[in-house]
Amino acid sequence: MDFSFVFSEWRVLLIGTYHTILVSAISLVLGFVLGLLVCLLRLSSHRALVEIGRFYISFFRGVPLLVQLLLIFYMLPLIGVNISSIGAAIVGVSVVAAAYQAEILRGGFQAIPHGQVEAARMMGLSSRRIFARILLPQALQRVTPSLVNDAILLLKSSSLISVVGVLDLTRASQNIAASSLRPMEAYLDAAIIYLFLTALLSIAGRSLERQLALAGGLAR
Amino acid sequence: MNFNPGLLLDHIPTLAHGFALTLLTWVCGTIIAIGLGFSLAVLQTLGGTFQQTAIRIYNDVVRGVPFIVQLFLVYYGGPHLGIRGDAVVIGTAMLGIYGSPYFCEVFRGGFQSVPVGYIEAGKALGLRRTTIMMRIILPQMLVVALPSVVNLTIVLLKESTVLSVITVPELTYQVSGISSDTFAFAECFLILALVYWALVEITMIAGQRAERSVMKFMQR
Repeated sequence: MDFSFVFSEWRVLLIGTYHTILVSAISLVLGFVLGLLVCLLRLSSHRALVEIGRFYISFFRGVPLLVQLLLIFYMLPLIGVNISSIGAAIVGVSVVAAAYQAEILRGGFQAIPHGQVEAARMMGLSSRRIFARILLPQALQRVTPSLVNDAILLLKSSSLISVVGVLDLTRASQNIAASSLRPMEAYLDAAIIYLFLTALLSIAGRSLERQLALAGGLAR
Repeated sequence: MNFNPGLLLDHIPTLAHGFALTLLTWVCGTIIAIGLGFSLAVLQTLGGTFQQTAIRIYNDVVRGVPFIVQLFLVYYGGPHLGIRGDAVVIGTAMLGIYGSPYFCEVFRGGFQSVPVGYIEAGKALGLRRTTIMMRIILPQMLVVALPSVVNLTIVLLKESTVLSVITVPELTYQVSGISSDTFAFAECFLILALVYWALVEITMIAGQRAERSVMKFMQR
């Protein structure tokens, strides 16, 4: 094995890593916002809204991400939306991430004892305040470990955007493998960088969990 | 935009072949993953520090690298190390390896959920170790593990789409081919999405049935 050529290609790997982190981070945030909305639909008292939420979660969790990306990548231009491949990738990863995060958040909300909401209502708090001050903070604290786990899965699944032509870390290593004719070393590089990124996320997640436990004193 | 899903009817033999291969890689990959994961879980539960550390590293590495990168590494990098094989064989084996750490964790959790008192009671009654394993530990462990096993089976179905990028002619690969021949991208990928969605829903319902019947068995 000879890794020397890798150092001459470090620029490509860097761009790839940057795009992987960029798409993952934006999709995580967009997915969270959209996921919170879907979760609220799912938990609402209106029957039709519940069904819409249920349909969304079922469809976007049921269809493989690769198929989803191909669908979005070819469908958007057909319905008149022209965005770059990186834009399509962000849309694809976000809508799927939202479905997973909605389910995680739902678990968090449902774990909160209903007596707390009743008590708050007795004290005359508005529904908005109950949501923002009582439900959301507790739900977030409970679901943090799952959200970090989901972020790791998202980072890994972002590798599929290489199939629709985004120069992410996977695509960069493919390009290096093709130009250097050394696939073993090129893909090992990508694997090591992914491993590093996922390890970093799980370490960050663990310390975040500790801090939350300290701050909130959440009884286990 | 004209939408004509009927044009897929001309390709039924190809699609049936792809579908069969999707089922084959999925089922065989899942069986390999369960077998490997179970063996790892047993080794981790009974083995010493060395085995435990080795398995933990294996689990972290396999779970930290995206499936597509692992596939590229072995399928394109493998020949440099003397690993050669048909795309279908390598793809199925890799699907099994990719799933194994997740199954290992599930089974390990299952083993830990069996109270030590039961095993001690079995020993006190003079049961043999194999009898204790087959009659006391395994049945209880499988009940605990079943929901996660169903979930992971669904995850592997979705991951099996990635095999299309190393030219395994499964359903996603065939449909991509038809779509670029006919330029009917929207129809092709929409129907592909619906097929996977249906497969996932069917698996989920079957899993729920299995859970219910297992629970009944336990309550007897």
